[in-house]
Amino acid sequence: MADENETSAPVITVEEPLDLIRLSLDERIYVKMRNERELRGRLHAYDQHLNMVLGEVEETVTTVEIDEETYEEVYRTTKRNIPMLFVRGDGVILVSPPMRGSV
Amino acid sequence: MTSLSTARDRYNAANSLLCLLQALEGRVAVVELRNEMAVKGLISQVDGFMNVSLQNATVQGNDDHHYHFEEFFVKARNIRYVQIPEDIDITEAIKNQLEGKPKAHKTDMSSTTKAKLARKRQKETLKFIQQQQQAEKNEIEPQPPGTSQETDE
Repeated sequence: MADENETSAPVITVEEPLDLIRLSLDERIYVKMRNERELRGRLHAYDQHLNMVLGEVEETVTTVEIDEETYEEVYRTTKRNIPMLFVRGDGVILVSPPMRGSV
Repeated sequence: MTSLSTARDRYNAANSLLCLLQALEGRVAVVELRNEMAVKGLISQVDGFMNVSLQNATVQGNDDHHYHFEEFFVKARNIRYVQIPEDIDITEAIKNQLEGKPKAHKTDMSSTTKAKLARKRQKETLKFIQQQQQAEKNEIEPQPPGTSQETDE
């Protein structure tokens, strides 16, 4: 009789998409929001509306300006840091682990 | 604190992160709105839909002038962020908030219609079983009493 079952790791069941967010609790995540905003922070809490509480969060706002002379698009980003932030869920587009090389 | 809240409000709050915002009642916080304005003030009430009333509020929009209001009401949909004061422990605050809510129903359920009906049915079933046993007993003893009888049970 094989003893494989005795050394199995604790099973994490993922049944619905919200469970994927549960996997990221207390980890740093990347949140894309409406109006060209992005948040990177530590996920402390979330709910079914995707209201979230993020700690040590950096918000990046991206704006596009058209240069009048050269007619080229200039992308500008504005960043700011907030120690603890409650985010209302209806502004959230997606939630993801932070992308490689840009934590 | 929940003076005007309906059962729907309390249900919504207890089942989402609204309870955290309600735990902020009485604290000063900055509410950032969707229209790029920020309101700093004392959160007096948060209802079940996340509408927020603030007192002694200062409204600032993109380094425009500051406007001061004694009372300021934000409709839920207009909120983008709420900056939570650093000295609040999230889990602690939510726990306190949920424990403080009154229970929705009385804990003693024995006088409800359901319970009464269940007790009535139980009595009827017991009576029925008793009659069954009585009937079986009567079948088993066709002989008159006096002769030796074996008890099955």
